Amino acid sequence: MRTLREMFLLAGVAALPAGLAVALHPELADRRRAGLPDDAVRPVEVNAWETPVLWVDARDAAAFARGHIPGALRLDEDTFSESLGALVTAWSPGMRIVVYCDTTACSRSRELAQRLRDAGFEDVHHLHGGWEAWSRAHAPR
Amino acid sequence: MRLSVPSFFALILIALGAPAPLGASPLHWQETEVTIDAPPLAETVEAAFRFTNTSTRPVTISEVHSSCGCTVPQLEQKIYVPGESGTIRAVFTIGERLGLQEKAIMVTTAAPDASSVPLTLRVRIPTLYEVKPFFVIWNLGDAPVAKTVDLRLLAPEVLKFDSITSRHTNFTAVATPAVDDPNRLSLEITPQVTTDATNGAIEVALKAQDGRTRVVTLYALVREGRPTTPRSTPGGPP
Repeated sequence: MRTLREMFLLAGVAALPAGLAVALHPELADRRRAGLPDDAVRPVEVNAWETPVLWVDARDAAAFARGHIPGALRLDEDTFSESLGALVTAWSPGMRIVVYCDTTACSRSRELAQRLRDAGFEDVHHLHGGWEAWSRAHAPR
Repeated sequence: MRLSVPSFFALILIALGAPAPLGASPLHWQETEVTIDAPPLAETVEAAFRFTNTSTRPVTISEVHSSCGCTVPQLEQKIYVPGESGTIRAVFTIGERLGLQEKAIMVTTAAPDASSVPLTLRVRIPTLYEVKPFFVIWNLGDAPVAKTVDLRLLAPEVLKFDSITSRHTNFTAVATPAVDDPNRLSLEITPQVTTDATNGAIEVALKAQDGRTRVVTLYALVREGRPTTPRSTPGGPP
């Protein structure tokens, strides 16, 4: 009986900081539930940012032509260093870069985000759910 | 056989979570996944996915679709009689891609044996050099002092430094090999003036033993804004 009481007490002590974290930062619990890596962001989070966002489309030219996030720049990996010029010109310090591809299944946005960080850009993220999630979040209601 | 209640519910959950079954493919594939190590400086690589029609009817391949414009699948013919073998060849264009690339190819057969089979092409592309950062920025009115870009040749037996050229008259660019490591170069970029907004490209030419040249473009900008230096982080070049 005593052991059982101690177990409950320990569980309560362990749950306290977790509960506090959830209460103070509900979005973190949300992100954890969704299994999001640190550099992944969801459309709802990007919408809440006050800093300007530079969207980078990691899809191919045909997909970009069918539809893309307004103002997005398409970065072509075929000619990456040449394409980078347009991004360097459009980017300014303090801007956040969000790279997206088609859906959660594609990994191009995550890889390209890493490549942009390697190239010297700061504050680079990739969009969880990609174009599909963004379209759903911005569909007319 | 009697199942306990938890096992019964576990089975139900597993059944609900399982993906809907696709039609059984009338084609038997010798490989559905191919991994290729791209040779240094290769422009394309080609993968072959071999199959045989193991059904008793002719099979029509109605569609072969790739997840990336960089991968072009080619089919020798559309209809395969029973017992006939064929190959889908996929040509992957490397461009300036790097590292492990994974591309999906979906092969769909027509009714009555309609099915879709996903093929996976993985290409490992070697990193031959590292550049960091890829751009340098001065703000209007900044002192026109040199900023440095580090170039590291990771496969000097394949690519060697050849030349550096500024494509804008406002910027000069000089390459200096590191004293202790000839495969590391400091690329110093200096603006003549920072009174006007300018945007210049700096071309770094790397040469292979067979004479082929690979050009890496860096960017130098003078513009309005707060002081900044791009963060230098480890990583590969484009």
